[in-house]
Amino acid sequence: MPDWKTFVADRLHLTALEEKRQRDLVDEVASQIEDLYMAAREDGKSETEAFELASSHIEDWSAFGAELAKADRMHRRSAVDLLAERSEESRQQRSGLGIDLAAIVRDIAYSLRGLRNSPGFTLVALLTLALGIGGTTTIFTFFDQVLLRPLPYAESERLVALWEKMQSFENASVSFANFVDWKERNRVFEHIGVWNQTNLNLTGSGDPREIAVARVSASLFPMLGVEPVLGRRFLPEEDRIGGSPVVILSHGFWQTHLGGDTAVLGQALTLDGVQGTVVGVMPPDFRYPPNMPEVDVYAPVGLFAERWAEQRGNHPGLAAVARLRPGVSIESARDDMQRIALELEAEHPDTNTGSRVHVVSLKDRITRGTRDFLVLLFLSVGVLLLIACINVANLVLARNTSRMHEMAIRASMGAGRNRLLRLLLTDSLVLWIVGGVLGVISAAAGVRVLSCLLVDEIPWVFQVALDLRVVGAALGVSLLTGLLFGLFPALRLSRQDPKPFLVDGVRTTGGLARARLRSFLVAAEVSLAVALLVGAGLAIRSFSNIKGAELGLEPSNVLSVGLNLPEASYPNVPERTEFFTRLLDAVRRLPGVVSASTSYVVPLGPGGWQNGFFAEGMTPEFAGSQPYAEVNSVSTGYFKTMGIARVSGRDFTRQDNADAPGVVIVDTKLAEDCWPNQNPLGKRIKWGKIDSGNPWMEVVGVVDNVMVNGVLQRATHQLYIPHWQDNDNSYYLMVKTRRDPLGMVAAIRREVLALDPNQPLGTIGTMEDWEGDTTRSNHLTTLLMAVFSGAAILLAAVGVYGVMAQLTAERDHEIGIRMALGARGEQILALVLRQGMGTVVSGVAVGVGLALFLSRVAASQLYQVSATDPLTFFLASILVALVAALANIVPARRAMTADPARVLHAE
Amino acid sequence: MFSPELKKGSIELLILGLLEREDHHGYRLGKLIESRSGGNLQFNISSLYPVLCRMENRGWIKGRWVEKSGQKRKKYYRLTREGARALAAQQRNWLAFAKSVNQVLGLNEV
Repeated sequence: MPDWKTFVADRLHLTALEEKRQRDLVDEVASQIEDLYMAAREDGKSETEAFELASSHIEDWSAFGAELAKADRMHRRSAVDLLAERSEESRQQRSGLGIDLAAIVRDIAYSLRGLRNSPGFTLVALLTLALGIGGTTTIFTFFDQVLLRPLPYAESERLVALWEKMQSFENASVSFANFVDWKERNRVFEHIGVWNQTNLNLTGSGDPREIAVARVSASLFPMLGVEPVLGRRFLPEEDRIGGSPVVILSHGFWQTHLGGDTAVLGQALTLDGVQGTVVGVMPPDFRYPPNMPEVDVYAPVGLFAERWAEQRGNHPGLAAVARLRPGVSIESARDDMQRIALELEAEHPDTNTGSRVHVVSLKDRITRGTRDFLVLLFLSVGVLLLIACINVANLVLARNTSRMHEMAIRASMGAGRNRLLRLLLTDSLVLWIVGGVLGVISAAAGVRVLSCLLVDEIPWVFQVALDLRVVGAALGVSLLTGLLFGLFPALRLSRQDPKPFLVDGVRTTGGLARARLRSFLVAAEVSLAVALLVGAGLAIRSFSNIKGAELGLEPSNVLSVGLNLPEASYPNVPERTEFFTRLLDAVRRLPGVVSASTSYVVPLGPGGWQNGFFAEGMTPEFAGSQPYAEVNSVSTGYFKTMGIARVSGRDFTRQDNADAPGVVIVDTKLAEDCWPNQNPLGKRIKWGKIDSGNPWMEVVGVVDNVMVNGVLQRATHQLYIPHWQDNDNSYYLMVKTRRDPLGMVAAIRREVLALDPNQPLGTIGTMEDWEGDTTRSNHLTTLLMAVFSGAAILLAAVGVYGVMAQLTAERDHEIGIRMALGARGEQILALVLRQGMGTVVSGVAVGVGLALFLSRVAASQLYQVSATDPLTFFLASILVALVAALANIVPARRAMTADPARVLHAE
Repeated sequence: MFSPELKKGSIELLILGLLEREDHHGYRLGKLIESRSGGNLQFNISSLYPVLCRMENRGWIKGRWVEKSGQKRKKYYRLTREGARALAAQQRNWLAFAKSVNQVLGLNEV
């Protein structure tokens, strides 16, 4: 018998196929020819006759090979199909499971293949979804972790923040003496404590260094439910005047500066010349105070309270925090604090008249500056997501319409309605889920980027990171959206009679209902874009107002260097004055220095110093309430260094010292309010009320008002006193330089160490940094809103264009007839535009309404621009309408230039 | 004998129909079609194999090599679920088609 395998292998060339498949086919064909041969032999044919007969079955081997290769290539199954097959087999073995896994896998494979086959659609849809879902997930992560979750302290819902309200000051820090009384008299708190922050000089271990210290009540750590990882908490007897000095280290400081040495307990740190014994180390994830990053050391607040306790009128930057007893509401806590405030008012009328207490949940207090910002961002990004979803729904609708033919074939092949529905739904779900996964990936990057951008906006206590819960939610929402946006068009399509679509050349219009649906989607998109653009417009106007606002000073090339003279080495005014006058003389001699001065407070910087005053001869209505002023203690040259204009009178001099009569420089606002239309020079001012025993100070100069707290705050009265007349331990050295101010730091450090080798430099900054801090959050809002609205307009334009192009293309036939009947191009253009712009105009109208509603949320973020600013609303509407009109004109023009003969011929 | 076009259009249906009752190898499929049609339908290897190949790749039929005792190994085809569905659809189509043709030609009365 002939070797049929060799016979076939020699003739059948299947090089296009895989080797295994080739062998398989050769084997099979050989086996069949052999069967034919054997059958012929059994019929009594000779070997030659049988061979002839069997081999004659294939006349043209190369055509046969090509045919086989073609059949195999055309229907080659993917790995997914094979998987589906395998799961089908396993299903058949264990039938009765109820779920047709094989069919689902095959549907998914089919959907994926469909997506791969229309890369344009897939790219646009997936990019849109990834951006929409990614953006929303990113912002929601912040929204969730900052606003929705509890603070990272035990039973944090019972924690409240307390601070004072004074007669002429809405928000004041807590007086230590008042705090002591609150602690003794309240009936509502389990614990109450205070804290403030300071910088102290660390000496005795390497170079002198300034470190950040949080002064806290001993009750704070038990109140927050936190234990040190090493050592113990503060004892109540350590938290009092004259207690033995002890400190607890933050985990970061312990690790980076002490190498995580466990033998640190019992060792002493020299802080401002005082030895403090280390008694504990806090856990790594402990963050308190919530807004103070990188605390190095905690110390009991009572150790520092000597001066504060004597003066009830002194409010040394203390903030109070308390834990409500179980079952006590914030309202009853407010009532109780009101009772105590009234008692204290009666007992201490000179300091506590009109003084009340704010009680707010700690969470609200911490997030107060972030809430509006995040809500605004979340709303904006939500609008963007909606637009993205609508766009994709539109794309899917358009794609489904062009798939009517395919669906019709499937239906005529016996596919039931449910089968078609499942197919279309799978399509939508696959798209949305892949988009969701891409979105989550971009959110992971987005959260990281935004965390860096928002580092100053988000309170330190919140460690924002993408977490599984939000990822799950994002994917879940994607699934739901896919279901929703997939089910509706799918239902519509599967309900349609497929027969007409089987006829070649039929116009695949979606029908009136679908056209209406798409018009609705276009209008929705336009309205959302208008709303977002109004928001962005308001933010931009507000920001340009802030940028253009007069600060009252010239911040360029001004360096600020904090200097914190320790109480132990500089206990009195003369030593401190000596240090600063010698330092100023040395710094002013440095090359590159234009001028230099000292200042107790940095305008636009953190903190501040407010004091009540009485001005001789001030207007009665002004005298009625205790007036307060922002106070600063400055040296000669301060106004020149800061670029604050002098209006009249003179600057301070070295002669305005402790032995000279008291002098003061006021700002124009104080002068105008106290002595309208009078010459303020020569008038007298003193601290406190009219009957206070404080000495009079004479006004010797008037300067411009400065926005000391940034332009967003109301302008305050300002009062300057000379550094040399009375002073404290902590001052800033302010230096105006010719070139880069930070380049002077090294030279200044040398001069400081030459005067005192134990004296480190404190906080270093430039006035431009400080100014940037006050506008950064607005800058960010503006930037993000601009990005969102830009994306919104782009997406909306793409959406409007897509839908209009599709609608117009579907009307090709109608337009062709109209033109064949004599309609002119312009008439066609007008017809198409009228239809499109009707939708756009109604979208704009709804968008304006939406923006009116949304801009109320934005109102608190706006500076000198109304939330209903007509110009912004007008421009935003016009811009969106114009973009939409452009998106309309392109397809309309194409319709206009269409050749009616060609269009009608296509029938 | 029928024209090649007519044969080509029906071969899938024939194969599906035969495999519905029993698994067969390629040679046997050709022989069965020939004998049951009274010799009117004949398919040689070069026309049968590309069809089998296509149907297998579509998932309608599935072949596996079987070695029976004392025989050479042969590739047997069986009908898959998908193939059964395709068979049902093609049968419906065929009946509808035949009915329509008959109606047009007025053959129903005969």
